[in-house]
Amino acid sequence: MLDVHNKGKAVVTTGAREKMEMDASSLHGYGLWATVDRA
Amino acid sequence: MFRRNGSQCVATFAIDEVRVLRKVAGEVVGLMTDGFEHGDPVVDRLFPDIYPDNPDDSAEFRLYTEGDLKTGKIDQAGAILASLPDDGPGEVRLDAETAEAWLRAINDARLAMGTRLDIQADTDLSEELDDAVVHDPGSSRVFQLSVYAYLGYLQESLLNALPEGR
Repeated sequence: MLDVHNKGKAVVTTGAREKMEMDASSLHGYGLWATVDRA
Repeated sequence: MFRRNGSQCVATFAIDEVRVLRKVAGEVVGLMTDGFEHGDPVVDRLFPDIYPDNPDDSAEFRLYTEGDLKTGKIDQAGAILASLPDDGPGEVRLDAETAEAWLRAINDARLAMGTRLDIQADTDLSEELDDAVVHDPGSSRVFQLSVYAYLGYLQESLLNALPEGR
């Protein structure tokens, strides 16, 4: 999470597309700027 | 500001604080309902595109998730409105669940105001406020910046008042 502080973004979770979308949506619930990227 | 009292977070608010918090929470609800429009920077900040390079996939994803997300934010702002005195000073006592709703709602309100006020990660808030006061002490920017700063202190006090081990 120090990456968020230093670079403004960080990889917080990895996995299949559906799970990533669910995780991103949860993070949006906390006001976080979450996007899904192909690895 | 909040302090811990047993398992609760407790704060005593002056009448002005109650009014400001009611207004702020009401504005979050308004933004989620009548004021909801993609393309508004505030809405786009609170509901980011999940695939920045793929508007179609982002839109499809929204279809399934945006409703719940919006309902959550309305409920959280509603939790603030429900726990505040109607109109007047008073004490607010929050259990852990309500405290979390408050924290999320304050966060949403700060993100919304910060976007409108163009506050960046490196913005010096007191400098910004001084500039605004010099420019016009009675301006709405002075008021908005003060509220933004106040919400930051309130958020911090509530975080510090949360029972440990959560």
